Amino acid sequence: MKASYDHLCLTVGDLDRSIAFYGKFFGLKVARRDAEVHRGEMVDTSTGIRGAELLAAFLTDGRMVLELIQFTRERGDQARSAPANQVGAPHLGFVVEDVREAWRQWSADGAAFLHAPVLTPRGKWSVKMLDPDGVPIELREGNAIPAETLAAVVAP
Amino acid sequence: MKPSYDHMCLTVSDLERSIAFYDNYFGLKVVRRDPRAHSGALVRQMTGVDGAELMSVFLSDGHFTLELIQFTKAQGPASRGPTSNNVGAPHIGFCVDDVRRVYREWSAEGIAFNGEPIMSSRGDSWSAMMLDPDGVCIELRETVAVPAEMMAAILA
Repeated sequence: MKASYDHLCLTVGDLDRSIAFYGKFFGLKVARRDAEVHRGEMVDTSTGIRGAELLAAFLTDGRMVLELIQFTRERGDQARSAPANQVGAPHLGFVVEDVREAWRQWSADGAAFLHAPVLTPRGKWSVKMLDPDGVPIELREGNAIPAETLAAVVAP
Repeated sequence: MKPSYDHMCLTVSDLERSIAFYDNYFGLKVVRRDPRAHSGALVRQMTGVDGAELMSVFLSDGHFTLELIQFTKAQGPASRGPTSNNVGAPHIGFCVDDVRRVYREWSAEGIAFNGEPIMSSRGDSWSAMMLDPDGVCIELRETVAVPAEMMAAILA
């Protein structure tokens, strides 16, 4: 049974706020948004939370799919993303051409950053910005894994 | 400044256990592994955690890149991932041909699921939510969340 990667999902505090954020900075567009809240046995089972009610949207840039869900009933007790050292904490990585320029422009635009750009041991600039719920987003110059390495995994 | 998606990362409690899990069930292979723990000012800045020391690895199926990090110093208090209603909680979605068969086979191997497979509200796909070794939710589904035509339309 071969599984293929499909999408990534984050639980957010405010769906509209997060849609605006991922649209503005990362160019992700709403590909699907369910008008009604989801509830019932299916939601109970898939979330593991009895009595949960949630709103969902799928965003994409044409390549990656980011699902965002906001609980409208049975909201969790955690109102902001957990710190990086908590088990299960995610971050997302995006490549930009010039990290220091993105940091300057986006800081001026009101984006929050965890720190100023740092030079990694590999000689590339990197910075962590925060999404509206505090989920870290790594901005980096160059892909984490070079295309040749990825191609080698696909080849038999 | 056009960012492009690169990877996602999860904080795990046991790197070896998670590497084995993502290889066994999702065919993700180690494409980069740093032999030494990362520590120092750079790690403190990038994680926002004082005194942090961590091991990291990148896994890939040739398309999708998953970074896993394990804190070896300054570990967070949570020993399991956040529940799905906590803000910042992630899930990862994968497609498989037959969710009910995978559920039977993987349950028999000891994989934990939030519940039995359920039919989507659209009636077009069985889905099931399994848990990774740290309790992070992994959605198994039979159809892609966003159809290829819709992705193409956004690229165009």
